[in-house]
Amino acid sequence: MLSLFLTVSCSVKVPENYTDINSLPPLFPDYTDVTVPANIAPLTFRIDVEAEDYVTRFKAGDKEVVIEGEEVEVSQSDWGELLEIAKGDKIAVDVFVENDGEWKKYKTFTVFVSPDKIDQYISYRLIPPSYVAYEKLTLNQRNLSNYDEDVIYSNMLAAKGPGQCINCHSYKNYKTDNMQFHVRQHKGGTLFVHNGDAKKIDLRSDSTISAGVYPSFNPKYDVVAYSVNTTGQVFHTMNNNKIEVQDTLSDIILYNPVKQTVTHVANDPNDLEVFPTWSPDGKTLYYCVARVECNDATKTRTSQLVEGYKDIKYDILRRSWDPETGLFGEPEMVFEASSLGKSATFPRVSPNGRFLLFALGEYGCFHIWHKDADLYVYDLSNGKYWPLEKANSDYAESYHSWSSDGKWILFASRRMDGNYSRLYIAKMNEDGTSEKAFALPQKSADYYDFFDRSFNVPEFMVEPVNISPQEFAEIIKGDSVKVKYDPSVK
Amino acid sequence: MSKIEHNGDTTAEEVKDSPKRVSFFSHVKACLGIQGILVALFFVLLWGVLAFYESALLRRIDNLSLFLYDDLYFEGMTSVPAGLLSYVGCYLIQFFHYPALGAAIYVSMLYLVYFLTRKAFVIPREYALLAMMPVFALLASNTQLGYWIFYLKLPGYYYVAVLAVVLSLLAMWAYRKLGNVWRMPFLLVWVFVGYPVMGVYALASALMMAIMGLFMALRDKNSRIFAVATFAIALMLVYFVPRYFYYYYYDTVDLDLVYYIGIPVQEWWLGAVKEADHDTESFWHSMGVFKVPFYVLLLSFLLLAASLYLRCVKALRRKYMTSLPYVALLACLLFGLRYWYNDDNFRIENKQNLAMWEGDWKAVVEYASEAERPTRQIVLNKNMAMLRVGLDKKGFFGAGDNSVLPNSPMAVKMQHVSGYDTYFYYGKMNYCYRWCMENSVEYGWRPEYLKNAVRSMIAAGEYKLAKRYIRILKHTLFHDEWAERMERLIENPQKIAEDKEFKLPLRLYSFNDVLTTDESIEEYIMSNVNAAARAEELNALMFKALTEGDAETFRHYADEHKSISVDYRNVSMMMPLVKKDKTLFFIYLDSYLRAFNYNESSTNVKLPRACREAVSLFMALDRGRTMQMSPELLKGISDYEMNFKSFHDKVKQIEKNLRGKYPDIMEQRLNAIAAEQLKQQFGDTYYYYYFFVKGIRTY
Repeated sequence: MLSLFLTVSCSVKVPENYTDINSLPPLFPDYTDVTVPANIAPLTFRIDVEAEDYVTRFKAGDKEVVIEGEEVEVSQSDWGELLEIAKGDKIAVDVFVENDGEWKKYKTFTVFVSPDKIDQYISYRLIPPSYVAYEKLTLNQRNLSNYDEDVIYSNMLAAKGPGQCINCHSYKNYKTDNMQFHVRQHKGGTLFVHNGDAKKIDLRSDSTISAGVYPSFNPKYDVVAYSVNTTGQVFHTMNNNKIEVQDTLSDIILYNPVKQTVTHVANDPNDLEVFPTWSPDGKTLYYCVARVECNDATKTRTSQLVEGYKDIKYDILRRSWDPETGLFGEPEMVFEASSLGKSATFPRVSPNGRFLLFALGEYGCFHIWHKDADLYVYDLSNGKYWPLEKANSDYAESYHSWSSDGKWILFASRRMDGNYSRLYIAKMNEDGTSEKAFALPQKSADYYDFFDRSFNVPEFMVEPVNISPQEFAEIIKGDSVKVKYDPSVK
Repeated sequence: MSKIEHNGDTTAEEVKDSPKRVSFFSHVKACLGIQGILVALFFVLLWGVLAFYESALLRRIDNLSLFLYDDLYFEGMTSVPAGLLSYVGCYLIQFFHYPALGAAIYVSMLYLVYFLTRKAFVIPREYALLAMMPVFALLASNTQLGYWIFYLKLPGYYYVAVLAVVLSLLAMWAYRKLGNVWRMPFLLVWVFVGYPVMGVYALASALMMAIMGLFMALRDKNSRIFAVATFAIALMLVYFVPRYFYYYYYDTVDLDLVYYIGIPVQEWWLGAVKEADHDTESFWHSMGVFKVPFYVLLLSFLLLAASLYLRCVKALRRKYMTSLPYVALLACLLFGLRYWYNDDNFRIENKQNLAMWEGDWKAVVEYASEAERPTRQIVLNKNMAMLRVGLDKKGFFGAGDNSVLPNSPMAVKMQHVSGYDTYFYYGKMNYCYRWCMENSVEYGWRPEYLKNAVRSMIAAGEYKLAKRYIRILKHTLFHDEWAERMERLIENPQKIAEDKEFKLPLRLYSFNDVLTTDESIEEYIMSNVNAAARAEELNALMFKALTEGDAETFRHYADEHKSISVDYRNVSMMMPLVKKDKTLFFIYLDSYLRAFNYNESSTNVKLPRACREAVSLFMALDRGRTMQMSPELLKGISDYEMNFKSFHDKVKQIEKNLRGKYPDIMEQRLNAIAAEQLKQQFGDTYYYYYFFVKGIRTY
């Protein structure tokens, strides 16, 4: 059988007589002229044009791989050889299509193979792009060198009950011996792994408005910053953004996993503070703030915020933090998006501490539902900022993270169909610009057509999570450790 | 052992021995026996009932079950225990698209259950009817469903239990044929291989085989030790194998549920109880009743297993025992009838849904008239149809509009049943799409959701997203043609507005975005929420521009006014009438009349009949109100004023008569009598609706 396959596979011939088409081939996903890391899984794609026959040729040095058919799936071994040969250079790809016995060839496109490798693992949540309902949610981890994917935790492991939401997985320094994710509703709490020891923590306190939501592990010290939020959603009758997810209240807190305490970092009643993130040295906390004033006594705060949803604009601020005293400095404006009539969210500092990557949209905090949202980079050394033009699209780009060496970014985008968020990877250059982003490769060319869940909160990891889903389930079904509120830290 | 096997195989031998020259019926009788004839008649009758009487239901079931010819779909389905059963179940369900074919396949499967039951339990011809017990239990598990069809979370539900029983019976047959030594390893393999394929059915059948072994051992001293040991092993396998798979294979299954996987009852629990509305005493009671077919299935197999021993007990070999199969059949028939959900509204809703997909709007109105007390969904379907067949016709408002809730123990919600269609037809594309998405999360993607997602996103201009769902539908067996038609529309977008499926929804899909929310299907959203505010705003802006002599600005706002379709205005006016909101109605009417003046193309548009009735009613109730209307319109309304006067006089007359006879009569009673007496003549007027139709039940 194998020999038969090889025979067939080798018998594919590249057309010798053809006419040229002066455009790049329409591929799904679009992998034309992208830059990939030297350890990425094979890029599989479909030639998205009607034809009677298709031939695709990959060429790097003397190595040629020829594949027949609409769906182009290169074997792991062939791909590995191509990457190895083309490292620091490019793989040239020719696509030929045949109709009525006549072959045509699209413009050759290239896949640039960066000598820089990428962190081997990523994790993400798989969730339907719905609004209220959620049924089967999983946190998954994926090996970027191949297509191996495992479940970190699934809410179906605790399906007997009134439903469970899981979200906001996060890691300290890209490693998994200090990590966390939240479990909401049934058996709710925060699954927190501290130096390899997993516990369920109840982060609620009488002094905070909710349990912890968006987390950020301090990379150097044993504290985690969280936002605490009261969030709601309303629906557009016509706008193709379809939904507005809004915070009506939000603050920032700090969790100490050694003392099991939480304390406020920012909780101005006129401010919505959210999306904390630490600088690489662990001594500065960045976060977003929107100033809201709800002065109409005849209306609820929520209805005023809903009515004025387009006026809610988030800026990026920072506060210094002294690990010795645990005290924070005064807030300092970093990027005043509101002065531009925009709203900036999800700041992430590059591992070298120079760049701030964030999502910028017209208004609000939940940019993954905002078609206009794009990724921007802010240079902390000189205050300049710019859009990541080669990585952005006409659709929403949001949740993003830096690889551990800062040479790659991973983010979610709805560009494939406008509704399902898919993961994209882009090479970051030293000057803070990026190369063209490419979709996370999958083993089948039609994977993205049929896979009915969005990829959410993508994070890089340098090692996989080794605690099994069943072990997590047992901990989640057990009791939680309750935190105390510590009012002493300001 | 061998004796019993001989008994079980007598049917074929007797067929060979039957006389050569006999009448057709004698021949059939000789072949099948009376019980065999009854069985054959039953299956033919069942096919007829399913294929014709329940054809709309079968079509609906097809629309609620997705099978894709795709590897990823297969992988997804088989990633949980019993997933392969679901996969095959979904494959077979798709043939309900042609009810006669689908029913034939389903009935054939039930016949296979009957046939294998006889083989597995060695049931002789004179007791053949006993083999119908599991058949009826399986049938009842499906026929009892009613509105549950929308809430099932187990893909392929209609076939899962049937397929599991077929496989189990094959295993039982094989198990019975095996020697004692081989039974234990057979069970081991069966449970290990069977659990991923069949879930709990593999465990139940393993136990059943072990029990069969015990009963057979009662007649055979030599095999007793084997039987007891095998039973003990079976118990251990049932306990440990699911746990093994939990810890080492499946990452998305709850340990607390590993012994229930594949049983739909548990799935229902999960789906239903989440919503607090369901958490009622009657719901829990009905859930208990609901499980009965599955208990009956189990019980029937236990009885049949016991019969392997009992038939050898001399004391039971009495003549009267020959009537036992007939008693069993009668009990089965009564049970089957009890568990056959038969509700007119449910049937009408399904017929209406089918007719709407086929664009037969007249039929939608006709089906609604069959309902004595319709559900709100039937009324909304009928009203949508009237927007198409003509609002000048009678029937938009009816005496039956104080609709009943669906006949179901659980809290059925319109958004789960047909609300997404409703939103689409009323031009609320985002909300249509929203409920397709929400429902797909709860119940998995279904053709009905996919099709609505496609057309709502085409209407909203989101072709990229529509194409995604088209591509999925193109991998189905029977919905691909519809998908291809939609694909052609996307390729020729200029044709969309004139396509019969989109024409009216697109005219209703305007003109301002509103941020709001709904927990179920909200009629205020369909009534073009906030359109009144914008209409008022436009009127004011136009008036201001007129008084300032700013012709350009006036034209700008007038153009926006014109862009609002007549259908949109009609819906905007009718919905306040449903809610009996006089103020809002007049705001919309005012906007309508202004557009009437500004928009020359609207000069032939007639104010809908119900609106004219409403104007005559409200102007009579509110004598000071005056309205600027064209003479034609006023003339049209004056006819209704006469009619309303007649209605009013009759009400007064009835009241006078009743108060004369019964001076102390209560208002409520008086109204009820008047409503009944006026129903024949005025039941389809707005006045009647306004005064006598109360307590509309949306859900």
